Amino acid sequence: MRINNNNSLDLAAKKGESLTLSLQDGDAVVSFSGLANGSLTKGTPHQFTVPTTGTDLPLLVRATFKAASGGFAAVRVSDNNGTVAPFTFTQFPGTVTNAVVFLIDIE
Amino acid sequence: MKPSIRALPTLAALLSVAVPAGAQAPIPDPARHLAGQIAGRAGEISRLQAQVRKSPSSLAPGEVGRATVNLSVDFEPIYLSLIDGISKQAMRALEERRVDKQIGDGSGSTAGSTSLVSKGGTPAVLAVAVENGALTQDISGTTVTFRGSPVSIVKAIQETPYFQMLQTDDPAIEVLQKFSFSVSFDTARGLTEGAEPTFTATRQQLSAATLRFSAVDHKDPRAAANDTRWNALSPATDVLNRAALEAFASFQADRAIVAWVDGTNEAIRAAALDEIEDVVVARFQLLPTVEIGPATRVAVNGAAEQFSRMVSRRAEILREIAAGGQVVFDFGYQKPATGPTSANVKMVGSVGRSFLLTGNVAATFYVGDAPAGADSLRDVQGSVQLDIPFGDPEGIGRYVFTLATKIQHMPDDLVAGEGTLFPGTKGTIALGQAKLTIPVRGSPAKIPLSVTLANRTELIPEKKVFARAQVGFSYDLDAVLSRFRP
Repeated sequence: MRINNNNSLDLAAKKGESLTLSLQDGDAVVSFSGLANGSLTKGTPHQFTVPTTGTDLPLLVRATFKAASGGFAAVRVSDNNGTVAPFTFTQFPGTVTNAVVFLIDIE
Repeated sequence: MKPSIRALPTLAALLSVAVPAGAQAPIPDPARHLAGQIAGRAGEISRLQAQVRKSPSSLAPGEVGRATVNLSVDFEPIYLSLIDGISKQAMRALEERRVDKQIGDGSGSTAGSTSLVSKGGTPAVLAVAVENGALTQDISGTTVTFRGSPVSIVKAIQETPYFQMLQTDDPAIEVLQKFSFSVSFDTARGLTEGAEPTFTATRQQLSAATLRFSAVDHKDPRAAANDTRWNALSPATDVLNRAALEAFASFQADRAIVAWVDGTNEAIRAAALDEIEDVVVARFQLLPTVEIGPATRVAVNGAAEQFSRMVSRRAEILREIAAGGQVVFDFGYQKPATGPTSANVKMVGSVGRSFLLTGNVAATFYVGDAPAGADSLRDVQGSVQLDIPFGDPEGIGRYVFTLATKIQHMPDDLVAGEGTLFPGTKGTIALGQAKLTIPVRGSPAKIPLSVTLANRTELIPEKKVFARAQVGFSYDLDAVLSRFRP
């Protein structure tokens, strides 16, 4: 996996490469959709395989906050070679949820 | 005197229709969320742009995507802003935040801008603790109260970012988080006569201290006991995620949206640092006027609908959690300017959602030598309160009917400030109260009407039955403050 433009949401990976989406820390409810679907908890990462076709494939990750403020969730996409693309959700006051899209281009 | 409660319904009805002219309906959750998201992103972009302009390569990979407006990060506030109704209400919420903030800043009640500093200054250690979030500070009259918890102090010392304060991986931290404390100082004490109140934090100024232990708190949405309830959110978030991805894909192909994103980033680049937040808000305000394609409109409407459903489901889960049990132990210490020093132990428990039942038992002791002729036990108390909310929360607001009873037993006569006893005050006092709290539409103000019955008052023992009716007025400051940390 490669991080483009020093931006962890802009990724490139090889066909069939195995990537891992994990929740490092946080107190929010984390779910994901697109390249893979499901929900995340600390200590139970989700592995998925990059398809053989397509460009800029989206992986949406959502953190839904349990309380009114102070929520956070640190997630990351990583490969088997130690490359890590991190993203930390921090709750803005008054917000309920926050979602981002990791775009993964196929090399 | 017998209390007359016949007039209460009429009075309640009159007060309820006495709505201030121009009062507006509450802002719905999706719009309030959008306002928070736009304000938060505007502040975040402004902060990161300041960093970029100082040193272009200083951003970490996780920050680069957040330094500009872009679809990967902002697709959700974009599709919510494209719904005209949500966008207008969100802008109203943003305007309310702005006005409230100006009022708050001008009042001098915020930390660091209080009159306390000008009257000699907060002792340095406490001031540093307040500035770093280890303690919070309240001022009421001449009394200064500091509140905090052992965990927040340790974390602040370690310079842990605020948002990481609730990490609970360590079992010891988890236990420590159940404790909190407060210390109050009376700044009018220990001074020469006629001197201005000055905070010295000496033992002489110590007026009260409390230690709280939260033994059970199932009302905390983050408590592990509520994890299974949060699992019920999955179906709603799964559907929302799919709809949001469709909106994201349609944005990538919609020229009007791409042009809006490009235009916004050009405006950010052209703006001075102190203008960036306003520029971002103004650009989001423009979104409902952007002419998107029909396919994008379908995707936007679908995503916004699923967003509203998910928010409603989350609110239902929070209401279920609010019905959880709570047991708290309070240990208090009071040192009045005159009279005996005392300590009290209190246990408070509550449970319920539609009906909230709260009970507490407490005992108060004299600390040190008890006053002459008095036992070291000052009193024991027990009370129970039942709150029954009713009415439409989206309309005028929720009324609350409250029934409460309290029993207090004093084994000895009450001790006055100068150490003398009030004869005939010992014995048992039983008290009952019925109260109706009336909301004022569109305002955090509330009007409580109460009727209290007692077998005697503490100082009027000759009256066998005592009744008192009272009309009050209260203003929920939390409702205003919660707009900053709702």
